[in-house]
Parts: sequence; C-alpha cells; structure tokens
Amino acid sequence: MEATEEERLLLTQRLKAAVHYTVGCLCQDVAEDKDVQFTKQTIAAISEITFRQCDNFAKDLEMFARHAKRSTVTTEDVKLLARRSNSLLKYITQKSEELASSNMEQKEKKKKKSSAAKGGKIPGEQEAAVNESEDSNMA
Amino acid sequence: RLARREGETVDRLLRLHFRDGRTRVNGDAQLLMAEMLNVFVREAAARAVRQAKAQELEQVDIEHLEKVLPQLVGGCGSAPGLGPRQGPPPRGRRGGGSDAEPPAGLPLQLLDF
Repeated sequence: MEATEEERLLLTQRLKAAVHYTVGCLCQDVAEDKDVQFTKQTIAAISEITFRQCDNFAKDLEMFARHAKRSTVTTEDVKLLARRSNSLLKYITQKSEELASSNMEQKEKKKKKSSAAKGGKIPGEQEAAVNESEDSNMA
Repeated sequence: RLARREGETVDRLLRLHFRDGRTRVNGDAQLLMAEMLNVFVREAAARAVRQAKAQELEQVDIEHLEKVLPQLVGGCGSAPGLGPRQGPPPRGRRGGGSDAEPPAGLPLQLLDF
C-alpha cells in the first residue's frame, strides 16, 4: 500500500533526525572533553552509521527473543547483544542491575502504600529473588 | 540518566527493523539499548578523535572516522558505506571480541563492537 510506504519513509526520516540530534549532542560532549572539533560531515556519518547499526541490533535482538520463545525483547536479550566485548558486557550488566534495583524500589514504594491501605503482607522478597537470579545468569 | 523519551525513540528505531510485526521491546530493554547506543556513539567519536590527534589535528574529519570504523563494527554485519565490508553478518558467532583488537593503553576502551 502506498500510504504505508510513505508513512514508513516519514517515520524513517523522523527517526534519523532524532538520532542525528542525539549524536550531535554526544559529539559535542566528546569535543569539549577532548578539546577538538567535529566536522558536520563526521557527525552526519556517525549518525548514519548508528542508524544502520540499529538494523543489526534489531535483527539480533529479535532472534534472541524468538529463540527464547518470546515476542518481547527483554534486558536478557540486550545483554546477549553486549557479550561481544567484556568491558561492554560488564557496563551493560551494571546498568541493567541499576535498572532492576530502581524498579524494585518503585515496587516497594507502591506495595507499602497499598499494604498500608489494605493491611496485607508484602511479597517484596519474592520479587527480589526473581530479579537477582535473572541477573546472575548473565554475570 | 536513562531518559524515558530516549526509550521511546529506541523502541521505534528497533521496531522499524524487526522482521516480525509482533515483536516488542520491554521498557527496561529500551533503556538499556538507549545506553548501548550512547556508548556506541561515544566510542565512535572518541576513536575518531584519537585518529585525528595522532595526526596532531584538532579537527576530526571523515577520514579519521573511516579508519576506526572497521574495528568499531567489525564482525557485526556490514559497515555501511564508509568502511570495508566485513562479509555476511555472522549469526551467533561473536566470539570473545571483535576480529581486530583496538590499540592497547587507550583511555576510553569500552567496546569491541
């Protein structure tokens, strides 16, 4: 259908623009940090490469999820993607743990609120056990 | 540090390339991928800077980026346009690192994409 093709093209352009903007910001950080300048072409090139890299990442993530008989990509799949380098894997695993613990904190807060209202018990420890074992698989 | 808005963009970026229309990305994975992409960009930029500085230049040009591309994306599918092609994407054969090791002793050495 033509309309879908056009929509897809517009979406692609919008996403490329979003990537370009973020890449520009990140390059600005690096430029300031290292006391250099990036040419516009270089920033555009990094942006293009990053966009295309998403294609590779997406296909891999999809395969990993499918292999685990899931249709939703999870942090486990992202960690698999990161295993190509030890330092990258370590970094991503660390970020994943930060996410998990901040999620736990939010859940604890919610449950304390609702338990205060209901007067029931909080199965917070069970949640913690699940999160920990999930992360220890990839560590 | 991990922004929700970035997560949405990442979600759309990935879904653009999924083969199956039903594939989704959960919230945490979105944020983690945003982080991964940030690292990727920073590495590309930092390595290009190193190339430029090795030539005692203050302006980072395309040629500097081209030199570091193969190591950055090596073994991860085709490097788009700028670098030499690495052949068909090796499915599930990542090994313990990329094909070429980046020069040792560099400050920002997070990745072997």
